[in-house]
Amino acid sequence: MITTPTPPVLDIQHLHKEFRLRGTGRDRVLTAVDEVSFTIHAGQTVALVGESGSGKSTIARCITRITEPTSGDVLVEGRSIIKMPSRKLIDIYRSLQMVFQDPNSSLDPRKTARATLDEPLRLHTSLTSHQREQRIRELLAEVDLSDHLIDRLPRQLSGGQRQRLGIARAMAVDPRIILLDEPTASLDVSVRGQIIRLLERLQENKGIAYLFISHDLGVVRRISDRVLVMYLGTIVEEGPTEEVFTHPVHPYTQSLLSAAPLVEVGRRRERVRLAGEIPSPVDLPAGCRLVGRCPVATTACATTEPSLLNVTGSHRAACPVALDMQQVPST
Amino acid sequence: MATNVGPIYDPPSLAHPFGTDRLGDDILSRTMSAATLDVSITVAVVLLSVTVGTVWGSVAGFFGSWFDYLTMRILELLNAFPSLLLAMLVIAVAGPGLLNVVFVVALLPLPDYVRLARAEVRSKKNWQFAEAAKLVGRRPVGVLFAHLVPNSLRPLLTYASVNASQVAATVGALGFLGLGIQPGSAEWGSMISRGQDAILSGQWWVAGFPGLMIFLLAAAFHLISDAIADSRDQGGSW
Ligand SMILES: Nc1ncnc2c1ncn2[C@@H]1O[C@H](COP(=O)(O)OP(=O)(O)OP(=O)(O)O)[C@@H](O)[C@H]1O
Ligand code: SF4
Ligand SMILES: [Mg+2]
Repeated sequence: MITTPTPPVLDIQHLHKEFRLRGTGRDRVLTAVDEVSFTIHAGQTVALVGESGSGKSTIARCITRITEPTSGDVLVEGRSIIKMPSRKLIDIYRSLQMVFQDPNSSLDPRKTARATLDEPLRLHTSLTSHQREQRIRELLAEVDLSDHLIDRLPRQLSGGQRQRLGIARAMAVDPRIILLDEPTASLDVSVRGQIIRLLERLQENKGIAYLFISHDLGVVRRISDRVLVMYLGTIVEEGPTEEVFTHPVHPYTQSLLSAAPLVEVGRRRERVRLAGEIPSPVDLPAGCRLVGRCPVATTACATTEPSLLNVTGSHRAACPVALDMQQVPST
Repeated sequence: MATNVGPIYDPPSLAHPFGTDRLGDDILSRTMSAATLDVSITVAVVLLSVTVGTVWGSVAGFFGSWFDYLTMRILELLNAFPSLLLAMLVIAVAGPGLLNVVFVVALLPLPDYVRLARAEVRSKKNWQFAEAAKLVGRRPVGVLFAHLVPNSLRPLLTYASVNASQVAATVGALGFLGLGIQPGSAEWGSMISRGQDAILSGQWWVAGFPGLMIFLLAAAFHLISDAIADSRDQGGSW
């Protein structure tokens, strides 16, 4: 893990996103991301984990302004992008790139590998066409795609090759940070490992920071420096990866991390499981979002929404009850 | 114009394979020189209509808002008029002439092209490759014309080749009604019109061969559209 005194490459402050759902009668509000804050430093990998629908993709889409956030701020290398007019965003996209989950739909079906990689080079650099051609071949080599694929259309490539091309496209402008939204989820299990190793190697060589969204906790544990655990639009626990994986504090993290839904809570060695299903993010009630599913909930949980509290160092969890249990000396 | 003057109303023979007309002009050579005009008018009309329709429809579909609303109202208005009648009316007012014919006939299928392009772009504008193009550094207009329009062309071109056969027939019909380029110029529609009396007196070839040509041209465009549809089935890049 690299920590630097320079401003973080990505600084997310109170990011908030609501979707208005038009229905019969009054409009209802779906809170997809609720006041989320975190930072990513140069060369760091921060993982974002959590159940489907917890708002991970929405965070990535708000950071790139593919989706406009409702409120909050996003700073890329210290520059706020939220109020930036969209024609100025092109400068930001030189530092900030994204790899999409599904390369089948994120690559233009009518553009060859060459044309796909030429586009960012043409728009962001003043390279001559000869220099661009050279750079395209370098990029292909960097992602282990052989030269003879240069004139292929996406449908003439395999799934893994397509995702390599998607990664090369993101790398073309030498960004400081890449958002990876489940970059291997659409791929065959056999090629997932290769893509992860490629991403690790690119990071080592270039010092890029990653926001890594994934359901694969094994990979998260292996490649990320920090992990953010999301539940219904909020971060419920965050900290150094090993720390969170070995000492999960929040009941939700504990249930997420255990292969079976049976976990140990704090030092009480009590086996618990979350009851019921993830509730709807529409018209969220006051209090902790886990109330009703949480085995250790108290009456206070239903009224006050817990905020992130320090566990140790930069490890924080949004559950006062579990934190109290942590402090109980072992007997 | 190479007119090979021979005996008047001569039936098809080796010397005049399509026969001659009431002035003794060779119908084969008149038909052939008319071909250039009819084919170029048809192609010009289709190109004009498909280009304007694609740009208009895709901009409306992509940017939406008031421009899209206005577009839809205009299309409804255009739809309310029977097309050939509209064309005849406009030419009757504006007068015949090459450009008038091209513009008026191009107006007829325009609503179809606008609607097709609009629907294609609307269905694709939230696709991830359009979002990815934004991150690559494209402005909205660039996303539209560099990515969405090229990916919307296939149905438009398929329709264009079907439409071309209708256009060929419309151009012929206008010529027949004396609303074509200009009276006297060799053009299939007007040749049929001038040969119609001869049919009653038994000289079928005067109107028959230009009529056959219109049919063949329309058929040729149909074959092209079939070919495009086939290549689509086989996953061709179009
Ligand atoms: N355009 C939209 N309109 C309305 N609701 C939306 C929209 N996009 C996302 N949502 C809702 O926002 C919530 C968060 O969705 P999001 O896609 O960010 O989840 P996720 O954590 O990425 O899930 P997954 O793991 O399945 O990818 C979901 O409840 C989803 O239904
Ligand atoms: S705050 Fe209460 S309900 Fe929420 S996780 Fe902690 S104990 Fe459970
Ligand atoms: Mg997602």
